[in-house]
Formats: sequence, structure tokens, C-alpha cells
Amino acid sequence: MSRFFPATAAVALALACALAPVPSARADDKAPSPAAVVHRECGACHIAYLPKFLAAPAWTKLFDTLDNHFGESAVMAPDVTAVVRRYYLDHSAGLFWISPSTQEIPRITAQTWWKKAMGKLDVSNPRIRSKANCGACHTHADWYMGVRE
Amino acid sequence: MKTLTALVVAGCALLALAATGAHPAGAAEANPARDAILSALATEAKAADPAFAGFSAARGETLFTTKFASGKPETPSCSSCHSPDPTKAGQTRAGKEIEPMAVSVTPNRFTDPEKVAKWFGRNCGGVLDRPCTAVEKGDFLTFMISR
Repeated sequence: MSRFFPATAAVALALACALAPVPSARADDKAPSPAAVVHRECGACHIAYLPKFLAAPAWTKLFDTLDNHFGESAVMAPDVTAVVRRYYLDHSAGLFWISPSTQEIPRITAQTWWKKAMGKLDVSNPRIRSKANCGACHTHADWYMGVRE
Repeated sequence: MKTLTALVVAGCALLALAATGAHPAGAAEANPARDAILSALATEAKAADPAFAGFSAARGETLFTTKFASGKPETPSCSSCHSPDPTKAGQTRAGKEIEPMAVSVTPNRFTDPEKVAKWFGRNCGGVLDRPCTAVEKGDFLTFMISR
């Protein structure tokens, strides 16, 4: 046999083992972190907006009305809601940065800083579709910039 | 001996490829978690109606594509967000892409019972303005498993 055979076979076998699928386990093997819960729950329909985009009173109003979350139900299990609410309140913006709003629930897109930064956004672009769709261009922004460990 | 080595390497590579779960399109892999969700729904359906005789992918397809007048005007049908073709991606009200519902395309669909319950709860309310029955949920899942 070639003197390289054992090494080659070992490498090939190791490769086969590495590529074999691990049975996918749900994240409750160990309890997920609050950031992971937020990413999973809030990131389902849109990017998980960063808590610092709004002040605490706005987030409180939002979490008090999840059954009518901008026209949709965003109701979660009570224990999950508590974790997500706590995370947003703990990391919310200082009141100084947030423009006053007369709307029922303050929208991120109504904030002065947002309008200055994103006012020229063209939502007719079929890749973008909505002002709420930050993730169209800011892919993984929620993960890298805020909602993470 | 070079040939033997090559054959061993090729064999291991094929083993790895098979292990990653490559399978012909259209064939949904059996999944114990998903089966458990379905059998729980079947038990519930049977309890509500002893004449229950099993789920139907055809009924599930009808449920999926019907435009209901009862729900929100923006989402008259499940297919409004999930795309009329379950093998294609849908989009949420906020414009984010939704993975296809067809199990042959997204194999881990409907394997988390809490996630399934949460979304049936929210979306049946939005589209039908009422909770879905166990039969409707089972029909829906059966349809998606068949695609």
C-alpha cells in the first residue's frame, strides 16, 4: 500500500464526520440569551430594530399593545414577552435623542434622525418594499450592531 | 495503491454528501418532531369530532389559497404573505422575506410546536378573524408537507 494511504484515509474519514449533519436541537438545550430571544421573536417579520432607536416610554407603549402591532398581532407567550420587553427597556435611547411624536405609537421612521438619514429612500424598489425593511440593505445589522450577546 | 486511495477518498466524500441529506426535490423527509405535531392535531381533531377520518392536503390547499372576507383587508389570504406558490419565498407586511412553506424546500418547517402554535394563533386571527380548528391546522400542514 502507498505510504500515504493511512494519512489520506484518516483525512477523508475526518472530513466525512465533519460534514455529517448534527441533529438540529432547539435552543432550549440551554436557555437562550435575552438577545437571542429578541432576535428570534422580533426578527421574524422585520429586522430586530435596535432598542436605542426609541426611548423607553415608546417601547412601553409598544409592548402594551402587541395585539395591534402596526396592524398585526405580535402577541407572544407572557414569559417571552417579559424577556423581550426588559431587553428593549434596558437598552433604550435617552429621551434627548427622540423627537416628540403625536402618534399613538411612535414610529422609528418618524424620528428626526431617521428622516435625516433615510429621507431619500425609494420604497418602490422591489427589493426594498417598505420603510420598515431595514434588512433589505442593512443585512444582519441587528445582529452585529446591537441585538446580540 | 493510488487507485485504492482514490476510491477510499471518493467513498468517504460520497458518504459525507449523503449524510448532508441531499435528496430529490419534492420528497419531504420524515421528521419525528413534525410527525408529533401532526399526531397531536389528529388527536385533537378526533376528540372534537369522532367521525374525523384524517387530514387532507387538498383541503389544506383550499384553506391556503382562499381569499376570506372576514380578516384584515391587507391580508385576505394566507397566500397574501406566503406567496400563492408554497415553494417560493413570501414577504412579511414589513417587506422581509419569508422562507418557503413547502417542506421539500425548507426541511425544518413545522418542527417546533411552539412556533407552529404561535403563528397559527396570530395568522388565523388575521386572515380568518378566528382561531383555526385542529382539522384546518392539520390539513394545512399536510398540504405543505406534500409540496
